[in-house]
Amino acid sequence: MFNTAIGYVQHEGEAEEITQDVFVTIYNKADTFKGESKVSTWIYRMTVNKSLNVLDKRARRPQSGGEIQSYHKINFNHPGIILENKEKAQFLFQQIDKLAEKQKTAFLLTFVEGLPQQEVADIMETTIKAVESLLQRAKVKLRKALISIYPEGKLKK
Amino acid sequence: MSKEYKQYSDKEIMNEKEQWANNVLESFSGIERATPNHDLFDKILMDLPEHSTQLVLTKHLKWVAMIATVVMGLNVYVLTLERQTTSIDLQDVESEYSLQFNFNFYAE
Repeated sequence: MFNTAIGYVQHEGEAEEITQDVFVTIYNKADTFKGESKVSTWIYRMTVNKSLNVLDKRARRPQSGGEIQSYHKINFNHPGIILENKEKAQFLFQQIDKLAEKQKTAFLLTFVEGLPQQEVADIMETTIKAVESLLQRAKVKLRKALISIYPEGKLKK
Repeated sequence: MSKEYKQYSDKEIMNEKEQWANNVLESFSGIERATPNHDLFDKILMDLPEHSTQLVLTKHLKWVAMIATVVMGLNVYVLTLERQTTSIDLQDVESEYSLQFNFNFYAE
């Protein structure tokens, strides 16, 4: 849960709050689980929805640009990224944050959570083909965005 | 000449940018799961209401319970049927015996 949430909100404190919230919801609403999907799918779906709600609230909250920059996203370091990839992953997380909700979910569940596409499709209540298409579009968009923000200092010229 | 050099240079820069973007896209390889602080579980436990237990019946468990009930019902039915058959058989045997024993052989 925490790993999924941190991919979305890119903030440890908020990811912990989401994890806490999901746990309490599971405890209180376990009897509403219909058993039509796997328990893990149900929990993932809940975590994704709560994370998206947090992002939605954050987007609507009136904040100055500086405040947003200091609090979220800039230089976010995912604790699970290997040392040599840390700097590059910061750029990637910045751009993931700008993806549309569905593309973001497909990308995070596949590449951060490492779930098989069938499970991603179950969580998103869609088909594997749709997930593949979302991933494809997300990659194209990310590549374009990354090229446009290429740090000029890196040029070998 | 300088234009050709310029074009080549732009292409080279573009290649480099694309290569960098590809490397960034690959930067999640080998990613491990992020884990929260150890005290989060204690916080969660504190948030849960005390002394309340809930019965969770999943679909699978419901089926198992239904099948078990049917099997038990069948067992009871078969046992009852068997008992009835046995008592009827006993009655038949008893009546046969009584016929045999009530039959009077008159030796002359």
